Amino acid sequence: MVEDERRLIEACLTGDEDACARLVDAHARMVGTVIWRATGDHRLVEDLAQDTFLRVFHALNSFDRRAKLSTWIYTIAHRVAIDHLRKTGRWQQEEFAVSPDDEAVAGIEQLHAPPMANPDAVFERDEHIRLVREALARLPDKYRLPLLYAAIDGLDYPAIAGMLGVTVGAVKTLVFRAKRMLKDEITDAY
Amino acid sequence: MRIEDLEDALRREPAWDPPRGFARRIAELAQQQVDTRVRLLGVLALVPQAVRNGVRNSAASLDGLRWTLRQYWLLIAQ
Repeated sequence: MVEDERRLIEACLTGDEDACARLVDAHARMVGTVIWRATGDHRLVEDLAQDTFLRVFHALNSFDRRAKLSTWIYTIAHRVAIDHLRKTGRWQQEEFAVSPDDEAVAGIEQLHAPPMANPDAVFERDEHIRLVREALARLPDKYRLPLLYAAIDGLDYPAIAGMLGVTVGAVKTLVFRAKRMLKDEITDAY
Repeated sequence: MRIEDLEDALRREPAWDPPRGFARRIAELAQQQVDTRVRLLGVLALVPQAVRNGVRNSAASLDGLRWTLRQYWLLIAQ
């Protein structure tokens, strides 16, 4: 952990409000983006981000200083989002563990699906994004969330592994599998 | 549609921008919660003594306990 971060945490723990605001400032964008991706609802983000940071400050005293602060905060954001999905009955009770079915496709990440005939002529960009969003909504959370998190700029595989409580290899497998499923969903829908 | 196109579409999703004053508001809320917890811990720390006092003077214990609880409540409500 960098010294500045350590000092920031110590200042927060002594009740320094400016330090708390700096900590929120440094991570709010990523926390909100994680929650937005996980819930798919922009209107919820501010409340759930607030909930996340209040949990962060509540538990800051027990934070393991050897760990990465950002990953710890994003893990709490992920859990807050999952809790919300559970409360609203939108969470599919599935662990992020890699199944034998997922293993079958591991290690072939560079294998690209053949392009559809002249896709640029078929989809305008907005239509393209709409299709992807609709297909994403149909993916099981186990695959949807790793894929969405992996597409967030600044969130790397080790951080996602920490958030989901799985290995980096498992994240890669889940993301790869998710891309394949997403492509199949879009192809089938079209 | 190619997988690269999917990746591209996913990366185009916008990031969340916190509203103005968000960090300051959260910091204030967090501080309020800490203050409340400190007060509650202070109250809880006094309970064993209140119980001992109550046992020592059973005639006055009920009134004493009422008074003590009221003081605690006022402390928390500050």
